Amino acid sequence: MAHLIGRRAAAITFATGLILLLSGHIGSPDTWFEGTAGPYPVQVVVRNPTVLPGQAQVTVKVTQGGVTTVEVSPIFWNTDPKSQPAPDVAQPVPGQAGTYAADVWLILPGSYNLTVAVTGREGRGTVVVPVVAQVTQLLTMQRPLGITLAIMGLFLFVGALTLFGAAAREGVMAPGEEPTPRRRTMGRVVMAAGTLLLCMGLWGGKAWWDSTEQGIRRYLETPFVIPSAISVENGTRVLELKLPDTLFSATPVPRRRRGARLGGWSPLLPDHGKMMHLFVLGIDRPESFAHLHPIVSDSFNTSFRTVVPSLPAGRYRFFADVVHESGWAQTMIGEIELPAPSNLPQVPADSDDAWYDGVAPGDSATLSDGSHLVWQGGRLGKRATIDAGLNFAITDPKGARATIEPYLGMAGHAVVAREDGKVFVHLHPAGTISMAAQQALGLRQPGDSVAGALAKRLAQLDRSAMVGMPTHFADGMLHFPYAFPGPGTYRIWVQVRRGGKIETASFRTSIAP
Amino acid sequence: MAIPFPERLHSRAGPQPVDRARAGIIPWTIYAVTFAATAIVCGLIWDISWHRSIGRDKFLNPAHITEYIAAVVTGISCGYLAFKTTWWGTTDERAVSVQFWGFRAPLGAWVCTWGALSMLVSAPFDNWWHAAYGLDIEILTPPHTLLLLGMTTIVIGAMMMVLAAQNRASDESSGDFSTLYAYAGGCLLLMVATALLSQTALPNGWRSVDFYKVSAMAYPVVLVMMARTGKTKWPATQAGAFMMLLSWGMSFILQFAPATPRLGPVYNPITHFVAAPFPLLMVVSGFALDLLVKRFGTTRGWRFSLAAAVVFMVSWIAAHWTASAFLLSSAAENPVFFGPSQFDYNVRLGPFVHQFWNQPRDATGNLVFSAYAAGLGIATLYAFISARFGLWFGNWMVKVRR
Repeated sequence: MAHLIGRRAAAITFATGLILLLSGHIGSPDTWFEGTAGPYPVQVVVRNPTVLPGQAQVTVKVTQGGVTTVEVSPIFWNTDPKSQPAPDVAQPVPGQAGTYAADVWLILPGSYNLTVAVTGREGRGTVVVPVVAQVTQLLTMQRPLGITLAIMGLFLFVGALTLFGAAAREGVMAPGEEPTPRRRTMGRVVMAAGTLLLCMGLWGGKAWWDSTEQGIRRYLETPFVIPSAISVENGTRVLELKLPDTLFSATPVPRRRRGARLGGWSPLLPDHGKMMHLFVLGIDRPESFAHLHPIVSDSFNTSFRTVVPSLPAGRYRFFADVVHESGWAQTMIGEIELPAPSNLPQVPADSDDAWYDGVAPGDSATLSDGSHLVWQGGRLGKRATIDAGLNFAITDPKGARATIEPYLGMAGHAVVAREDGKVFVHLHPAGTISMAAQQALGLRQPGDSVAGALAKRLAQLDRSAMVGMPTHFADGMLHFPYAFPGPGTYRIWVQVRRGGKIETASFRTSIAP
Repeated sequence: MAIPFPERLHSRAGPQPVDRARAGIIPWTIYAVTFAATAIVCGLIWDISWHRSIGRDKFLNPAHITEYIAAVVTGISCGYLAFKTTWWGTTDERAVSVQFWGFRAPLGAWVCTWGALSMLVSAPFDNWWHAAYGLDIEILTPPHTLLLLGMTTIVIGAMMMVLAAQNRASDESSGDFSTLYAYAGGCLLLMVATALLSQTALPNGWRSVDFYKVSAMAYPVVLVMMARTGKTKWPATQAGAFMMLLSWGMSFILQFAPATPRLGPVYNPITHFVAAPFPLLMVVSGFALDLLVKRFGTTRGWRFSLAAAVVFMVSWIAAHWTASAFLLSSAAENPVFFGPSQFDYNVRLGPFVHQFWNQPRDATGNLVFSAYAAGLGIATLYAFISARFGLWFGNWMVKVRR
């Protein structure tokens, strides 16, 4: 169909009403990735479209290796990689050496394997970047555009009626004749009938528009809130979570996209060896934080249970990260109210669980062993939507670079949350992506069409992958590729393992628009 | 702004005007709007083929540009006609015009102008729609409907301009106008057939009840109108032939133009544009209806409409039921008949391409003739209503002189 005005040019004129879709990360739809495509170190940023189908803006930064071409192709998780069109060739960005950009089309809501291929002096290298495509905004029409369209519509409406009248009144008269009273009356009758016809057409059009809008609105507002319950067993607070059936079976989607749900039912995959990563953040007391790993308590991977550590009593938000076999990394949410802890010693349910209560006064946090975790470049003066500069240095009590050990398979973890609870993201040095999702998309084969087949294979791989992991990271440096999605007051928790103990540092910062 | 008519006309002194149409001179504006109608229909076919072959498009792709050119040519030629007639029009030009908000131009020119304006209005609306609800995957959305309405209106306006000239022309000089009118009718038929592409185009559906129902609603109205209003010997036949020729010509050219899918998944790795299927056999029913008009006339409207409905249904079923078997066979797999394998890039080809779809069958797979009888009965009723409307429009249109 013809479009008389460039889409992107006019897109900026629309006011937006943001509605959060509770999946992927919360309120942070863009993908940031750092890793390697074969021999080439790459940074990939994917700015997702807010509606689907839409165009994602992909930027690939690759500074080494005499690069000749950078290609990107978005592959929906359950389609055969061999049945894909030729990749999009990313074009060099003028004035930014080593940066390439391409717009790719994302059609369906769900998990995409964005394959980035770099060709250069050292041959061709590829890397899979998991991208979750979803509808994240519902546009409202800005008043000036609405008024302009209404005026134009009225003009067409009255014009059509005038045409009906002119056709009936004068159209059939012999050249030069003056309309008779009868013909004038005929003209008016036809105009009245035309009014009725056009009104019916407009009414039908409005009903059509409303149904489209309703379909998308219903889809947007589907909340993935996990039913949760707190109980006290032998002086220990226990949190139980039950994934709702609607998560898998009843996601309401617009009729036109039926059959293309966010992945449909697919089994969960362990990510860093855990089926779920649960982050508990204080509402009454925003300094309180816990990173827990609930244990599956049924054979369907839908019921989870964990001991809540020594967090003070009060209201908490929780964010539960799971990864589906489709590569869809999903964050579910909920709220709990914790009773006061008992005086009994609190034993974590999982050895990788960690919690913290406090915040660094500035850019430097002191860890429990006296070493420091310093936000390099500082926490002040940050802006939204550009690289957040989440660079941290760990120094021992003497000021020398400290060695850290892997925590859940990574050099470090970071959690970024806005204080209003509308933004939440779990970061690694590889960025916003889930490593399990990357692995699932990379290893999927055309034969993996039966749900559960790939998950089984990956579970075995996940166990063996732990064997070859590095035992320490000596440079004491951490970098998390990310951009704050919008202005506001944010809290950042950085977690590392040192001397066998999980250390958490917490920062608070304000982000300008 | 209002320029009274016919007072001003009468106030003009000078020799008695000569109607150029009566003299058989075809004005350039009529050529211009006929060209625009052709560009609209061809652009639309091209655009649909683009979406079926390449999958994604840009603002400035050749198919879109063809549409823009049509809108611009319409706007310029009809705008010129309105200004010229209103302010500098000769007596005869003003005498064959109608008044619109104080301006004067032929009726068809106003219809065309309205069509071009609604195409223009659909643009920001469509743009917002894409930003709000996603890029094109569906053809029919409210803004696209407005666009399609504008495009169809331009085709109808072009028809009206030629029609008025044809009706004014003397019998000796009406020939050129009449052929041009039949051609414009062919454009309208193709516009309707293209809008109903998914309902009636594929020969796989030519033995389904729905195909006959939709066809019965959509086509008799235009064919009867053409048979009633055209001044050539076989106007509906000619319109049907022009429609088929245009459709076939576009498909014939497109199938040789290289195209590569740009959206995944690609299950049908095409290398050239996917052609629209072999056109509907409009010429057959057009000929049958022309014969009916010649033999019995149209004076008895209701009776004629009933006869037209039966004639349309019989000729339509006879033509499409038989031809579909050939078009789905391997023998049709050639550049002339386009064959059954011309499917979109994202369709997994299988035996279904050679099969008939949506036929009423019982549990054992046999055709249910009672379902056919009921369905075709309803279709005949639709054809009757459609033909009656066609005749009403036709009766009015034969009188259009401006």
